[in-house]
Amino acid sequence: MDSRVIFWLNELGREDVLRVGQKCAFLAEMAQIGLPVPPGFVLSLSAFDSFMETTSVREEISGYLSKLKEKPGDLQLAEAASRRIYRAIRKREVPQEIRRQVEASYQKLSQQLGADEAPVSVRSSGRQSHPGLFDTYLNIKGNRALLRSIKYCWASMFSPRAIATLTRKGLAAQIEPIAVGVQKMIHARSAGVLFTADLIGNDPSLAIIEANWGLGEGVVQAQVNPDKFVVSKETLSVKEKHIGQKTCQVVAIEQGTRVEAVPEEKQAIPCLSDEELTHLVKLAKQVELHYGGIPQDIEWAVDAELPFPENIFLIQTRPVVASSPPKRKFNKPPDKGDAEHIADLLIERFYH
Amino acid sequence: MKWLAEWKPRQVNHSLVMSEQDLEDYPCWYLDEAHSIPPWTPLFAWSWVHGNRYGDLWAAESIGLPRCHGTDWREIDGCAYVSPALITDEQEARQREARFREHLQLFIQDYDRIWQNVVQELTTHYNEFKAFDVDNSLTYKLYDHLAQVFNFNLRVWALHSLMMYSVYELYSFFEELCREQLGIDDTSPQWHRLMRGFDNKIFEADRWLWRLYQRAVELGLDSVFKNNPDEQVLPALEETEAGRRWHDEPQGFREFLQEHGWRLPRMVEFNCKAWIEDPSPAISFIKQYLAKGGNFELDARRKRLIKEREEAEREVLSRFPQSEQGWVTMLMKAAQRAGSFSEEHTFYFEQTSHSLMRRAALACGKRMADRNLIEDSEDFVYLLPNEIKKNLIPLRSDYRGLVSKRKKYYHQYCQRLPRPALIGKLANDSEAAMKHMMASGDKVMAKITVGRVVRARPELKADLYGNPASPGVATGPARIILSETDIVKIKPGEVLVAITTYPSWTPVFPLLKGIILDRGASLSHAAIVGREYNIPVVVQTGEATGKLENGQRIKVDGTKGAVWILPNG
Repeated sequence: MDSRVIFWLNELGREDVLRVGQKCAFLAEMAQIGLPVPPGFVLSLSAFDSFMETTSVREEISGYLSKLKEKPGDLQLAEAASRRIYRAIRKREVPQEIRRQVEASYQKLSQQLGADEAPVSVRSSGRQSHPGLFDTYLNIKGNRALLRSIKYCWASMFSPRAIATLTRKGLAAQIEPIAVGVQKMIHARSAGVLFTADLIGNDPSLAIIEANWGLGEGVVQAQVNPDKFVVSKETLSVKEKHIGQKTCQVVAIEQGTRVEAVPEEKQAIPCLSDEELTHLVKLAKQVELHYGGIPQDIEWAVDAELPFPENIFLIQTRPVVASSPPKRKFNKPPDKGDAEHIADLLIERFYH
Repeated sequence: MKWLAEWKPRQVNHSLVMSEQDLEDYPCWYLDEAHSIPPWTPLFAWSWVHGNRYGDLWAAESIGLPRCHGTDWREIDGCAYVSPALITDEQEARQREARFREHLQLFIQDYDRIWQNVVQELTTHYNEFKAFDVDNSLTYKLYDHLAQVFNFNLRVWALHSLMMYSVYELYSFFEELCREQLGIDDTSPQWHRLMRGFDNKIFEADRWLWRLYQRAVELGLDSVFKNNPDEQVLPALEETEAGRRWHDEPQGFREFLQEHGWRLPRMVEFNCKAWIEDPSPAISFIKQYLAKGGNFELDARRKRLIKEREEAEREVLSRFPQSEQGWVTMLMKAAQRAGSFSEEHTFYFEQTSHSLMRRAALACGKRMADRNLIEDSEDFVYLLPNEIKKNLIPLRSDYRGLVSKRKKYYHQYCQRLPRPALIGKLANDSEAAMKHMMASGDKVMAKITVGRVVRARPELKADLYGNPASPGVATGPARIILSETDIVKIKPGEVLVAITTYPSWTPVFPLLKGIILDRGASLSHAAIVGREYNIPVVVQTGEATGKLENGQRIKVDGTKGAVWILPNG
């Protein structure tokens, strides 16, 4: 595999999943087809591997994980192991070479954004998408904080929930590398998620938008009662509006974020204009179309200062899998030959 | 029904001319758009529908295609219509399924051996036919040769359909699995990366032609090519020592024609000379290479495509659980064969067989023309095989009147365009008609006859929308090619715009920047070759040849499947 440590988002595409993980590869591809994506760079999967090797933290982690093999999925054991692994990773220094390249890239990004130390978001990106499994660090400024967040992202591979899931899936034997995306922080007035299909009502002609004031974390982590909009993808007309009682929001502070109360006069008014709503759906349609019509789960944000429509950004997309009709089984029974299984499965799919 | 009543095809009658009864027997007939526009000559139409019908039915029965007895074929005025012979009896379907399962397994495991046997059977017969002296043999022997060549063509189609059904089935199944599990299909760039970086027999010809061009330069023959019209290049070369050497040395032009000259330029129609008879298309390609210069880029490009493909393979496989990667790999390899097979099979099947049929029938035509039974030896294309045979021994009927009537009729029906895509009871209900066709489970028909529905995407603000078939973006002047005779007009750096393309056009691909087709799908000739040359291809645009103009600057995006007309200059 390519041993490059840093890639800029605009030099990547979907085919780079093996270099920079699914989240970043998909994001890069969105940028490539001209969609508004915050600029930034990615620490590749190789960077993770290199960290694991040069600091010899890998052996230590394998030791902790191997103890879990007996009781895969035991959350208490996973928690204990997770704590130890986090500590082990935090203790290690980021290798000199990676550190140098991260600092140089961060400086370049800051320059592009016209700042000394531009605030960035730091997100993990695994080879496969594990919605909600890995961490995001927002509004990070300066080399030290950035490197710390990167280490946290690497460590997020080993959160109790992630460990429990991974051991259950039997992946513990091999530690999957994880990439880390570093992007311009969007100071969001509003943010949220968009599904390019009504998966519950099973209507692919509708887009469903959930939105809250402030940063997207409020909606993603389902802490609030967001606004909900239903928009026709064909006519772009707003079909339904449910304005939620939005009592709290996530906002950026000097370093990091915190949850704040929403001023009373803003709690019950829509946090997106119709104009913004339809523009957002237009962009989402492009994403869905680009991915072959597979319904997408898109995170977006509306910048507080930029004028419309430059204020709308797409933060992430992933194909909706969890709530789409369950995938059909295709596993080969152990006693069947490969060719036999292919023939059987083909006949089942095409002729039954 | 009304359509049929209006133009009764009464000038040429044979058992596979569409009849009222056929419209009763089958709910719908589908135009073979990929091959029969423009319409064919009577002899070719006869041969195509008889050959394909025999081949499809034979193959479907022999491998036990579960839901249909194969495809039935009819002719209406030089165009073929197809319809699946559906199996609705559940018990029968189950019985066939067991046979089908067995065949698929064998085909997956033993593909190389099966294909080798097919190639060997074909080559043995072809070599025998090629060795036959059509011009100097006794007439009864020519009669026999004609019968043998036309008869062997049925076997050619049978093997053709067997291979096609099996290969397309596995290709479609891998696509289905990828769509279901990963959300990619045959319009995704990742799919195209998976399916390229493969050599095939047709590229051997292109590479050889390129070598012949370089050899011409080495021998100082450039000026002979540049200063003579296509058809006078060979006589001019004959006059110089170096020219004779170029022609006769090992790997020279003579050997090239012996190996690759058995190709017909107008699809595989009989009314156009094969390269072995008239090598000027090959000469013209060499002249175009001389104008372009440089190296044959395919091999250098392929290295990168192979690397990209291997990366795509790893990426796609990594998205399947480790436990399943063994058989998924096996299936992927089977699907990947579809591209090179689709491409090189025409060399082994249609091209050679039809070149030999033309050669035999033309020799008969010459003998009839010598006796003034027809005006021109090329008029054989207006006669059916039995009529030719009947008039060969004893030579006696004056066919000139018949031929002139048929010729007139042929020119009339060539103008009757467009032909209806569907006829029969379901003709006005395209949804029901598609359902009927899909019920057959016949992937060849689904991939070739219909293609995927194209959606307009106004947000791209493009002038034409189609399906992506080879990724990338390019701009260049448009070059519209409606017939093989126009290929010589292509200049390096142009974007080819055509209804569809044929394997004998491949030598021109190294000159192109991109391709736009009115029809086609991911296994169309242009899509396969375009992917190998790493140039963008958009298929199924419906109206590119009508909407674009020669010389217009256009941008073609094979990743998104769209075309833009750019301001000139």
